[in-house]
Amino acid sequence: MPTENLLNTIVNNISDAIITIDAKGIIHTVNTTVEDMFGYSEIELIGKNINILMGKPYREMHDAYLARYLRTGKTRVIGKARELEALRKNGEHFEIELFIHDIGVDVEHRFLGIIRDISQRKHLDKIKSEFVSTVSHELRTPLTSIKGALGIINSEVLGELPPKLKNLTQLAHKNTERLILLVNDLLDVEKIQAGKIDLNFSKVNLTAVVKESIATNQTYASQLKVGIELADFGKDYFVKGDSNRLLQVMANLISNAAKYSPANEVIKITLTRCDNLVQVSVSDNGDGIPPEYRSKIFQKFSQIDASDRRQKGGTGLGLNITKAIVEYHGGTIDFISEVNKGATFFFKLPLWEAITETVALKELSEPLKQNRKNAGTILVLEDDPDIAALLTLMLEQHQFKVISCGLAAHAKQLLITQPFDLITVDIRLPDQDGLSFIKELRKDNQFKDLPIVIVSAEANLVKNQNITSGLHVIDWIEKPINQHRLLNSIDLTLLKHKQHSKILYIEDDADLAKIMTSLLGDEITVISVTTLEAAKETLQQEEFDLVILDIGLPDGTGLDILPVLQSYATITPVIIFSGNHITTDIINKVDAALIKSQATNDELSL
Amino acid sequence: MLTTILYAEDEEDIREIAILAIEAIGGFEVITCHSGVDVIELALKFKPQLILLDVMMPIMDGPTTLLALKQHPDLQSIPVVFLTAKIMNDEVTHFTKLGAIGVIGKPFDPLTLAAQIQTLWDAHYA
Repeated sequence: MPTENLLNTIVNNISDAIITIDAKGIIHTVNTTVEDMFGYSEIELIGKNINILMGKPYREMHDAYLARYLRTGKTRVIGKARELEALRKNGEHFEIELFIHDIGVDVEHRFLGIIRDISQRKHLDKIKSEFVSTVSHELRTPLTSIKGALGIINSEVLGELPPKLKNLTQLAHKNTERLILLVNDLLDVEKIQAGKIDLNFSKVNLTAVVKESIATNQTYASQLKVGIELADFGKDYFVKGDSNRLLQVMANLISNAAKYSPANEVIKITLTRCDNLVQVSVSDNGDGIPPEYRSKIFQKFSQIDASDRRQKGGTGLGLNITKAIVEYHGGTIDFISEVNKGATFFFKLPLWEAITETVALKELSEPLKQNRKNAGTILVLEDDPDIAALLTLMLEQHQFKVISCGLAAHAKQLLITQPFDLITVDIRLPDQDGLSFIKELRKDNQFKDLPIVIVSAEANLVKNQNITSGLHVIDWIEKPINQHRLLNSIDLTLLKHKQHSKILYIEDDADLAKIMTSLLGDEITVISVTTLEAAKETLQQEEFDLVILDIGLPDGTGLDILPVLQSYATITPVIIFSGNHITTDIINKVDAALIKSQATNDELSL
Repeated sequence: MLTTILYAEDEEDIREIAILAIEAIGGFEVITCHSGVDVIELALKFKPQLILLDVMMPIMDGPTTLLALKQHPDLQSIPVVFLTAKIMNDEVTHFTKLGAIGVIGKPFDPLTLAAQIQTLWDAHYA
């Protein structure tokens, strides 16, 4: 067989779809797998724009991405695998993994795309998660009876037990408790994976939490003849957190330290401040963690499996859960250890004072509200050319005029020479700290009211999409719901018509809709619908003060509602509520670019 | 003073344990049923001072039962406590919004169940 034929045969028999396109996105070749995967024949595809195979929102953005890549050579997609949504001929959306390679042919650009259908895998993941969560719930019911029965027997209210029998019932009771802990851990792990862990954030005194955790875990530690000592106390450190979950973090770290401490030793706990962070560390004098386990320590079901350690008990899920909780708090966790010299686990959380509320939201909404029809001029102060280009691209698509620069000094010059309606500021700039730049601006009468959007990689949840949509206010909020944030944003947008406000909530998860309704209280009427279709219908019949929308809806993406809203005479603010399951590239990029600010309103208005 | 509790729970074994915990350990009197459907009738008949409800029950679940109680002029003032495995923050908030005076998680501790109920009752009338 001639080599070319052989290669063709190979390419056509690969289970991945392979497509080549040119610089304009036009399809040149496809292998036969493409036909099976997408439902189009080769003839239907050759000569068409690749975006017919793409789900929203890539479809609209793809040409612009391609153009930007060719112009700047900047991209995040080439040579890397990423997951996104594709579209079959029959209209079905499905999840794919995509690899793109630039295979420039002579002077002309060509791109090779290799597409793997991962919808089956995703489906199985989902089934597995649901299975674990159902099984865990089902396990709790019989466990409740067993534990209860044993508890009553052991209490001897119903009669005294012979000592030998009591030993056995106590053993059974203790093991039931272990089983319950395991079930709880399993549920936690599933929740974390599904992004459904629920945190109730408030201002929390971390010092008090640490002290409480020491008190609650004292009994366990003393059973192992291990002491606990808080080295650096007296000072209160406040963080934004869920105190129950933080207690869980501490309980995990303390019980681990106790488990691995030799008897008659002391676990040392310290609380220290470093910059805008508070660090809690828990040290033991145990055998330490061998370097080869370093990478496994925070993984699920990981316990150092040497035979002399096996008797330590525990599920091996604790540190995995601990890490997730710390990260949900915007913090980090790590450890240092040397064999035979013990281990110190420490986590750092942002201090309350350092955490931002949505500066952007407040500052943006007012001026843009007054003057929405004429998109304004925006100064993008951003030193990462990728992010600057992306911001520019998005803003320009919504008819804003954009000028970008990478240095604070340059920005100051630009501000003096021409008027801007808004400025986006990266917090980390090469020549000046973004915050001090903003403070400087605020001191200048000329710029004290200039709307500012903070764009920084530091914080994780503040997201503001206002400028890109041309709508009145759009905030990006992640699930799990951060109640405080959510209410804050809504308060801000509803400030004007506080009483008897009416909200349309577009969400396919009925439980979430219920929760939202109860979160918002009685003054606000929440009408919830589960599909796009229903949303559009409701919007035609009634007017709303605010629309909250979920992106993943059964009949399409929530973003499709935006054009409908824009077509109305009155402006309806929108809050977008996106789940962790949205891993699409665009959303990631928007997150990476637009979110995140790390300063309080007070700090910024100095 | 709290003396009589009406308790709806579909799991026979859990019911058994809870009855022991409330009667033998707590010293209260308990009237039980298997589903929310019987709660209204029993509540009218026995006039309990507190109603303890499981959340997931056949025919009529706990929250629906609570709403039915709240709509009944003779029963709406009887405090209701949920005894449930659904104890995620959001769920607890939701139950309290519905009008429950408290939520006790499963698995519960039979030795302190009665005391927990008493505490909620005391706090409600404090």
